[in-house]
Amino acid sequence: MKIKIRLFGAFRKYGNEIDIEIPDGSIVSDMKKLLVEALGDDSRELVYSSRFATDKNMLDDDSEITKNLSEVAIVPPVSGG
Amino acid sequence: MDNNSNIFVDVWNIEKTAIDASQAFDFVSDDAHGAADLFLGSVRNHNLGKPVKGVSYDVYEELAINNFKEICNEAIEKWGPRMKIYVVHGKGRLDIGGISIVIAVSSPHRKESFDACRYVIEEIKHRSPVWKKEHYIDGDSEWVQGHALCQHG
Repeated sequence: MKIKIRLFGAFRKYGNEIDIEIPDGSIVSDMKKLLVEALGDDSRELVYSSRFATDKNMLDDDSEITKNLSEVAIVPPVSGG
Repeated sequence: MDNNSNIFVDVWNIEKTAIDASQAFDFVSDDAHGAADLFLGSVRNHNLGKPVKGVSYDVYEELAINNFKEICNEAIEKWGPRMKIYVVHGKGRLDIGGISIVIAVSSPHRKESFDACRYVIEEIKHRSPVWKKEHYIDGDSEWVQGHALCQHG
């Protein structure tokens, strides 16, 4: 299945979003590996210090990706205020 | 927006609409409240020894609004249901001295307002999906390193 990943903060240098193909039965942390493959190896450190989220909440790395999930965001370390 | 009468949270494009402290105070104003606290975050002219000329804020708006509400509700759980809380965070670019966030909190007595206001800004800094890019005098710019979000915290 295809998932759109929205990009924020330090990920903006790669664009505003990217689509990746996720095998059925994947868990959230599997998307990190696929995202590094899609963005390139220089994204590895940032991807692995980030978490995925929907527009409602953060996703746990070990939770399963459900079929109705079509869009997530990758959330790098935050610096608001 | 489904803000209730005690909580108002939003994200504004600060290149179009400046954050307004008096609107924040008006929202939390209440005849039954004897205390109100106001926090303003603004752009500083230096960071880690480097002169800064401006900051751009990137925000995941939908999640940020949900997250601000969650933080405000936590404060109300901790310090009482009679509290009012207003939070607006900016997105876009600001020059030195520009206001990036306003938080106003009111409550019947001052301790709750002080504590809740501090809680809300600290939690936003550590948990909310907002990112700061600093623009330096030398023309360079960089995303601030920030706080990594813990899995269960």
